Amino acid sequence: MSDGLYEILALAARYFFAALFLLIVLRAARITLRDGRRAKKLRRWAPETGLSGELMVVEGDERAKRGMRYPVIREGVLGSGRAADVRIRHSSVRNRHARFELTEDGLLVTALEGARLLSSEGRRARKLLARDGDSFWVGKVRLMLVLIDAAGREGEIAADDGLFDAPAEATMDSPDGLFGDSDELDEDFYE
Amino acid sequence: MRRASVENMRKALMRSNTRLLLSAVMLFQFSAMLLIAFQERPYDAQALILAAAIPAATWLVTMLFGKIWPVDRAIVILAMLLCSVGVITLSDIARAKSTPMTQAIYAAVGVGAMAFGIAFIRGLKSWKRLVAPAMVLCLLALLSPWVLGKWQYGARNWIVLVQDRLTIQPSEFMKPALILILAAGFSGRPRFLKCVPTIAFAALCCGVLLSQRDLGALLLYFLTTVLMYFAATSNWVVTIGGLGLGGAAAVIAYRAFPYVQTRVAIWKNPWIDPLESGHQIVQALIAIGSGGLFGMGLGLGRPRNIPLYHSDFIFAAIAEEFGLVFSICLLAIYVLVILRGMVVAMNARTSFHSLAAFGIVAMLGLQTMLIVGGNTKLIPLTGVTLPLVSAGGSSLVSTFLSFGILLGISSLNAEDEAKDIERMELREEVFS
Repeated sequence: MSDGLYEILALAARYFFAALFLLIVLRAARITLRDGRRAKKLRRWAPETGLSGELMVVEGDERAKRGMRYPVIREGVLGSGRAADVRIRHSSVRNRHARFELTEDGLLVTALEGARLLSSEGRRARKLLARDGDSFWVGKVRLMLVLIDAAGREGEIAADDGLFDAPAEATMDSPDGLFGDSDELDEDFYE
Repeated sequence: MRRASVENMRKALMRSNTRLLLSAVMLFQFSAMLLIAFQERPYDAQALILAAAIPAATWLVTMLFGKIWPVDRAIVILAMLLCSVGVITLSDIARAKSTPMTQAIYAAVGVGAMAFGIAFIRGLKSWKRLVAPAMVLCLLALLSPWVLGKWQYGARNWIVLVQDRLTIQPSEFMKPALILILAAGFSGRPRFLKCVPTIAFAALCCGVLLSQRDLGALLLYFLTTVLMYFAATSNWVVTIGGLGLGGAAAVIAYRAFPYVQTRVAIWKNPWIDPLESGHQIVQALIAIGSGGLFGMGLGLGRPRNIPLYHSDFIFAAIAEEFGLVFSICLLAIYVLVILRGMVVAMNARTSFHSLAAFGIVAMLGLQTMLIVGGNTKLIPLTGVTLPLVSAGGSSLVSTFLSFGILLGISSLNAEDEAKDIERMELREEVFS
């Protein structure tokens, strides 16, 4: 190609490149805006998005009454302070009481700086692994964990976990029905 | 009604169609490389090969990654576009013919690193155990130029693997590692005392970089650490204290090191000595100015007059060849990548992933700001590369690796959202 022809082509192409880049930017901006709007809609339709389960108060008083439910994300801090991810407003619960983290085996709860954390049997623990249906004490509040994707125990058949059975036997007065197999929980899970 | 909402959610989960974006990017890559191929008589065979290979690689990578993992395709396409802008500009301006081909080969290695990054972050289950060994390895790698390296461009931050052929810059490769270590250390809303080991590690890294006079990387490491700490803890006091300490250290460095004083003096008025110390920045400003709105035309500019036109000053070279409109669009693409990365960070389900994604885009944004600001005399020049565009294998591969981690996190988010929908569907089946 002659130098003159190349120059004409290159001079014309610069407008083409600028227009193409403008198109790319506008298209990418539109996709980004649209994806943002869709993510917002998704959250509105499914507010539980990002939750791993919930903690239900089975024994408590003050502002943490029996039956109250607290949504649980995958990891965070449990306490009575405003900054806590799971805020249990009770005088026996510290501002930052325990840290929790969802693992493949269940929810790992770690007491922060000597806070009162007891297993369902009333044994003090610094760290405990709670599975679906297990309960534990945070201060003087007893909480039961309900996981959305419950990790099945060894030997349990996941397909028939009784999730959709009528809750006839399970009442607040018969905690055995509510807590499932919590008494049989392997001791090794507690530190 | 419920059925409709599941359908709506399904639609909401499907990301926007990226076909037009991909087509526009491929058209740009093909037409620009084709134009360069006909710059020589009868034609430049290498440029012709690249004209076919670059769009093909962009299409293949986008499709392949999108098929294997549910990654954010728009980020993949924009990353490939930025990388191709680098190869195209180098094909046009580089003195040696091998430079664009070497860059293209590094880009191919980078794509491999991106795939590794995706697989790595997806497979990483227990990161806490890896933090201590990773810290030791990082420090050793950062210290390696003292044993294996030599002084170059006023810094000792390179190690020579094969004499005159293969050199790597450990501080570039440590960027993704630093971000992951910081994310692991700052995750789970820790109190300040728990963050001290991580902050001490970052400070040690900065100290090593200062000893090697790698000021650009030092600034990046420092600012990324401060930003990530603030994002993790929202602790204003420590963050402002850290920034204050950094400012004080900068003043001390200014007083203690003559080369810092020189850089600031050049930034203040490069026209005092336009042929010696201010030569780089003066030439860059002339190049940007002569480019005008639409540029001199591909292959018609004279960016070779700028020292380091292919690495630190590639933005000035692009502004001269392609013009201001194109350059602003290029910056807008960085902004869009950062925005998408922020969305990935906000949607991540664990604080580790969230912080890692935030750290990657924060570092990308800071790096772009530092070098573009330096090129345009907005801030004093620091020797960092324009991410994915500047010539240089270490920077390119490491940035692709960071993008891989970001894409891996985006794929984990997409899988989690899909699980949410499955759950909702199951519930509807039970209750309907």
